[in-house]
Amino acid sequence: MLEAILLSAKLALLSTVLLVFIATFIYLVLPKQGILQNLVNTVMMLPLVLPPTVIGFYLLLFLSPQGPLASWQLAFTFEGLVIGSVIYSLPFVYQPIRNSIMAIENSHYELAAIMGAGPLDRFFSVTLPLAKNGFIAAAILGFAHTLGEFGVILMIGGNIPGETQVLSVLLYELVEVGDYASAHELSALLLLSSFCLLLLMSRFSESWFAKESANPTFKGGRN
Amino acid sequence: MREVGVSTSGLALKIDCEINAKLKLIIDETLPAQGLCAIYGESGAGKTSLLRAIAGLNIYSEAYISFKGELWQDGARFKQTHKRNLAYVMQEANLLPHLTAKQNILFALKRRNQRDQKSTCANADFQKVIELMGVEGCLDRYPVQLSGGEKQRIALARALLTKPDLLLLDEPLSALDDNRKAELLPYIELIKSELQSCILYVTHSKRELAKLADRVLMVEQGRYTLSEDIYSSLFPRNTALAKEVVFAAKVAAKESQWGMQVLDIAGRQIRLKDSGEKIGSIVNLCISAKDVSLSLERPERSSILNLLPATVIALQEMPDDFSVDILLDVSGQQLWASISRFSVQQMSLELGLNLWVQIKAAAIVA
Repeated sequence: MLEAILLSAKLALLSTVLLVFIATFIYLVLPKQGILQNLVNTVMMLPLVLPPTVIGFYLLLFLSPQGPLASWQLAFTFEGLVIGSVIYSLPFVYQPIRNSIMAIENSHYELAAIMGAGPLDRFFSVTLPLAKNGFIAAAILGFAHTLGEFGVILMIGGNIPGETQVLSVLLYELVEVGDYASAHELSALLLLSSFCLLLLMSRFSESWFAKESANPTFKGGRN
Repeated sequence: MREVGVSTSGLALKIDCEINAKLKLIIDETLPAQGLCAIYGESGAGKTSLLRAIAGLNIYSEAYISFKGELWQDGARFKQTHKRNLAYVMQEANLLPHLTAKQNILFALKRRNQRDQKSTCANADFQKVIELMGVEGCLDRYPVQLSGGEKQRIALARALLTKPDLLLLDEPLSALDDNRKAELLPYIELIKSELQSCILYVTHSKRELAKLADRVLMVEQGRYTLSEDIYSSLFPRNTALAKEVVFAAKVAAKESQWGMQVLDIAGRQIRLKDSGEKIGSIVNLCISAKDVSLSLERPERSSILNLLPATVIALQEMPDDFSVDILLDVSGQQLWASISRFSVQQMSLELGLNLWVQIKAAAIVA
């Protein structure tokens, strides 16, 4: 069981790091209006409504020995799981990042430009600090969602201990073989960790600065 | 103080475009590279649009902007805001919310020094400006923990420290109440004397303007005209609606026991509150029509000290059916008095009549 826990944690951590970079990159390069933006946004929302098995099925087709990406040899490997997780959890990371960046007032960027900051400088000195909570919330949500995924992993990863057997897949197997005691432990662990992650996220999903301006003493006055 | 003529090395502005269906922005002037130029006009006349165009925040296609021989915009050729050597203090929201006041100042200072490849600003310099602006106690606070006046002073301190060649001030005092405004006005004067730069200052207040400006850009319906003679632009003598005039006087003596000074106007003397001008200097008095009253005989034992002989040179009935504005000649200078029609009738005022004016209040503006 420990092997599965570590594998799940590794998968979730790696996917989260990739997702934050990919989501930020997509937001930055995507035009802010027009048909292309609508199309890409819609495609990225698909994992929210599609059964995970559908995504898993298409991924399997692409990655299988007969598929176009067969040479990468990713089917039934940990790397294949990472690709599947990134695609499946993308909307959960993209949306909070997009919302928090969009909430930044244009006047802050103008101010930074007046103070001599160029576009890249503005990203690091204005966008990142002001959207910080959005990024944290996105990372937590992406991590929790990857921990909990099942369908995609079963389709493209199978059930290989130490390689693709993550917590949710192990739980399925334990129930199949009738080991209810272990299944209870594992379920309780997943339930508790998900609850804690969501609780942590709610601390960041509201803007720190919104709270700050509503109640100036929130942070204890001057630091 | 006021240079005559235009220098080609200053700020050249040539813009002719439509901001929206109702408003145009038309200007073709070159401002000298030094001195404070006020921008004066109605709200919604396009003053902020002009400053934003100069800063490169609004991009108009039909625009030519150059500063000190450096091209900032020529149609589509465009130098980005962060590469322009300027500072811009707006009405409010001049600080980044996630940085403390000090970090906000250093943000600009660091980038300016990098760009100009200067060493960082000397610590002594920093301390001096912080003290000048009276913001020592605010440095470690975040903008939400600062008052409106403190935020503006931090922004002004930043503008001073970065020593820009061009400083844009868009009503930096407008978000403040009158007391705060009066408190901060000396700081603007300080910036003017500390920085040998070109300063554009948007204001609605004639008094602020008369106190600070070397020249004025008057804007009407988005159309700008530059005038080097601010007094005749601001206080046109030929319209009855101009309730304020500027009156030249010479400081003749001080009466420190009363806190007053004696001013000389063509051989006649008036007394005003001593506000520190040097004996022998020429000051401009801003006198409102409502602060001038008339008397046919020289009044004795009045609390109003300032009596001058005058001649009526015009009477203009005001559209309110109640008051009449009287234009008077006082030893060659003109003065308006606003009195009621009833008084005009009682005193039988007519052209050429000699009488006494009593000046109830006057502000020294420069």
